[in-house]
Amino acid sequence: MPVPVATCTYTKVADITDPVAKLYEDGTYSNTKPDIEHLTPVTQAGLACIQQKVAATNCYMTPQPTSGYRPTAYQTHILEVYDKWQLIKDDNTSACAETKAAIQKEFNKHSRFARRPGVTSNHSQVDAQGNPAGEAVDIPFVPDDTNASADAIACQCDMYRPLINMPDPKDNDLVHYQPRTCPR
Amino acid sequence: MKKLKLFAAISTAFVCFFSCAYAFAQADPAVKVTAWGMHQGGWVVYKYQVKNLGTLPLDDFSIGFYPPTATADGAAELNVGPYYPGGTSLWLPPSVSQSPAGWGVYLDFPEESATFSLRWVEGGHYRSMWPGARESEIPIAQNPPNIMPPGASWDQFSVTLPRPDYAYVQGHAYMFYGDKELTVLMEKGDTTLPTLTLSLSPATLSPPSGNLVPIIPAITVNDDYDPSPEIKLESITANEPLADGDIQDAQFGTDDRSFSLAAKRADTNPAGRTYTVTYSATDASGNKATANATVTVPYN
Repeated sequence: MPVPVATCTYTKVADITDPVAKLYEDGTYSNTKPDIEHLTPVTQAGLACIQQKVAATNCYMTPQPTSGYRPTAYQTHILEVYDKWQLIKDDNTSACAETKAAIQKEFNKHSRFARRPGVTSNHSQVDAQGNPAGEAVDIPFVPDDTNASADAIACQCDMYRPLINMPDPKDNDLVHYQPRTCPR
Repeated sequence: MKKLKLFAAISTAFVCFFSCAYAFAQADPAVKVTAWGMHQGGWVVYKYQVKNLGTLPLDDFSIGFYPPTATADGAAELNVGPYYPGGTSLWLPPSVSQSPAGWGVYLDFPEESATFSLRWVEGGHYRSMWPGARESEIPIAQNPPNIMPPGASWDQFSVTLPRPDYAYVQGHAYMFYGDKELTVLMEKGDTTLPTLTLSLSPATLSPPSGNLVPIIPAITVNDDYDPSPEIKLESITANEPLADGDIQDAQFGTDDRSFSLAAKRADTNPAGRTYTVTYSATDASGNKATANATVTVPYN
């Protein structure tokens, strides 16, 4: 009678095929080197303006963005990484050891996950031709001891923060900026 | 008899189950991180000692982060502020950080987050995670590899801030240890209050002329880790109602050592007026001591 061979029911994270998403996966882009090139020109200009204004008034630093354009394919990828790790992390069987190691390596190379990642956002927009055209940039280092200062600087640069003062404070995103003509 | 044996067996198993569970819960984590802070030359330096108490090597860990569970979100615990010098990288330069040879530290932002953790990584490990990353952006020498071995205790991890932030000594440390996620509460290395002594001169205001008298505090402070804890004037109170202007030039919440008190008292108070002045000393780990001294305006 043949002895059944234990097999792992989990699968490794799928390879990325999207060309821009691949640039994230190979380390060209990361939160220390976000993709600014694939943001819309207006968003790029808003980022540069905020950096310039903060640097002019803040002797410590020029704020560095931590997230620019992020293709949907990449967001889907990190969601898959997150979900597959949650499924396999408590599996200690030898049959799954290789798969677990591969998923762990993927999980560990990304930024820490404080929650399950979302898939779509203004970071992932494309234009009518399907070309990357991100309309959101995360800029953590704008002085925001009072939120008003961050918003005032953003307004001078025709940017705003759409995700502050959310009904659930947990959903506030204080670093997320998008273009919008500021009333003057 | 059989029933007795069965009862004994069940009792033993019951006791063992709970004692074993207790032992597991109490077991020392494989990695222990101790944190403490100190003021240095107008800056605040937070230092970390990492002890690898398990049987596996360590090449990557974060402070200020804990992961999500099945029922709750995790969080990065360090607040964004104008803390770090600018540049084109989130790697911390040696001017505001220290790492063991072959290691570096960078700010790691969970997505869409205004908070971050500090992630120390060994250079070879970082390169293995990102084999295509641009070498010029990695401020860690290629060689030699310097993975932290089991049994090692290293304390060459530090960050420098322009002001105290106690989140840097009381949050979580997070890492992979083998194939397990490991989250530990950092231990505060300094839990002792500073010793603070205070005297005021003059300690008696007489006669009760109504004049404002400059008061000079004499303060001494000592701490087991922090060479210069932060001094603050906390409050000035009195045992009788004060009029506007009886306390002058006092900047509460700052290291104010120059203020004036009125040499006045109520005619109906035979005990005279007693001002109580309170200062605090807080070390960079957040341990706060207070001291009081009094200035009296006697009745006679």
